[in-house]
Amino acid sequence: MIIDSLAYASRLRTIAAVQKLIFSAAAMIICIAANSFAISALTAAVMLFMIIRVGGTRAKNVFKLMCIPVIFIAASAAAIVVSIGSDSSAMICAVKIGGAYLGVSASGIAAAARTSAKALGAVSCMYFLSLTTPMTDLFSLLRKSPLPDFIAEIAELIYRYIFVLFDAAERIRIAQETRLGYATLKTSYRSTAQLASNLFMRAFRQADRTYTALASRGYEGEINVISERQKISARFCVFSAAYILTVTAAALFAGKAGI
Amino acid sequence: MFLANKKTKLSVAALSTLLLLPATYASAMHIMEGYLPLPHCVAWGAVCIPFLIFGGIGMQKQMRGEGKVKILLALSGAFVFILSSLKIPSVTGSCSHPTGTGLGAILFGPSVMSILGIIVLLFQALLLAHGGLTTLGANTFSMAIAGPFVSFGIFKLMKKLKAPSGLAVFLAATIGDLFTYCVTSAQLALAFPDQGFFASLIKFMGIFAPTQLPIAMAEGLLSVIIFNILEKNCRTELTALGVIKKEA
Repeated sequence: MIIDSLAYASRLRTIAAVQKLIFSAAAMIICIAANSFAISALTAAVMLFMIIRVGGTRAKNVFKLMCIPVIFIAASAAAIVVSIGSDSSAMICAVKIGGAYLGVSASGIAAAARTSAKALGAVSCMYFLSLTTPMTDLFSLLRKSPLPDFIAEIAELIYRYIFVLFDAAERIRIAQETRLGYATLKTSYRSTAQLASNLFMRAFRQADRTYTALASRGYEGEINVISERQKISARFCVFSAAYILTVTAAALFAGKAGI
Repeated sequence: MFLANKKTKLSVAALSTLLLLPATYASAMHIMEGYLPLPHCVAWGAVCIPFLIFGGIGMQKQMRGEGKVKILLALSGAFVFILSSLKIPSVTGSCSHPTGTGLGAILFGPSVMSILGIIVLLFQALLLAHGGLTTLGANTFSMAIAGPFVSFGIFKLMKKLKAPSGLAVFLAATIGDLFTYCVTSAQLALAFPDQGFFASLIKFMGIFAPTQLPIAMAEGLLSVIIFNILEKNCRTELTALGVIKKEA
């Protein structure tokens, strides 16, 4: 969960979570709605600049993280490039299988390229949010939202126990590995299943213990937390408003120009 | 198929590379951030809402009785998250993860899974960059609603038919996984119809089949082994969840 630890270290952490959420959501929506190369590139560039230069996250870490979606995007783009149909006139190269053609068309390549660029822009918006805003800040937004409180409570508890169970899983895995638990395919299956069922048991016991601990401190079914007050940053407000206006205008222009 | 001329050979070579690329996309079927047009994002989100409300009401009712249920549900959510991050052992050494939703649906019920699922998917997007925020609706529908409901239905049906629990769990997890993959393919085909929805659907299903079929089988197998161990060692917990009946 390197993303979360980077978020805590970001210089943009102190800006109110609601501002960052609105900024990244708006940028993401504009990027997807514009569906243009220029806007996607601009979005990605601005977001990376904000994360690395303004937020102070090391570029090496950010690019390592960008590799995860890039692999996904490349794989899905390949799926879009290939097309199947009865009409092969638009295809650059095609193979006939049965009654249909399997091939690559120019429009398919264009669609794949456009979608990949768009996805890259949108992913950098998501990274802007997740690399500057720790989950705990987002939870306090969730509590203020009209959604019932128990959703935020459960989300917070899940988040907390992901780390607890993750640690336990890692320790079990290492113990299994030192005993050649993953030496062959058969033992790998056994080990993975044992690990999972052991975690299930641990999750139940942990729930028991957590409940006892909470009950002895006066828990009656609700978990209340004091959330940190975050000041609204005027500078960031002006910046995001300017960004949204400029990029919307640019998107309209790019739409007309077709880039 | 005749490989008569040079051009055809070249086409075949190019196409097979393209068809092999998605094989690296072996992780569970998340649709990436930014891949769907906005109207699709909104529509899939809207489709999820009734299921989520239904799941939320069910959860609230369960929690009213006892304060402990809430904590148990949270731990279940964390368990599903970790389950989906485990590696499925495979011969090729490719890195693939189970969806975990089949086993989750059997253990915790499908309507609870929809709420736990959307929270887990949100965490996967923000903490691991798997999936996305605008595609959260579409991913929730395929992985946290469609898959779990099918898994649960098959599990109950097999129990009614008095099938051995191993077979019931295997079929529930495998078919639930396959259904998730079909729904994701349909979602992608709707977004990229190319030469018609059905041709596109066949294309996406065909491309993801070589990775998804073995993964589904592997996840089914893994779920059975997990379930067997649970049945042996965690009878009290499983009875509390209503998965198995109390022994007379």
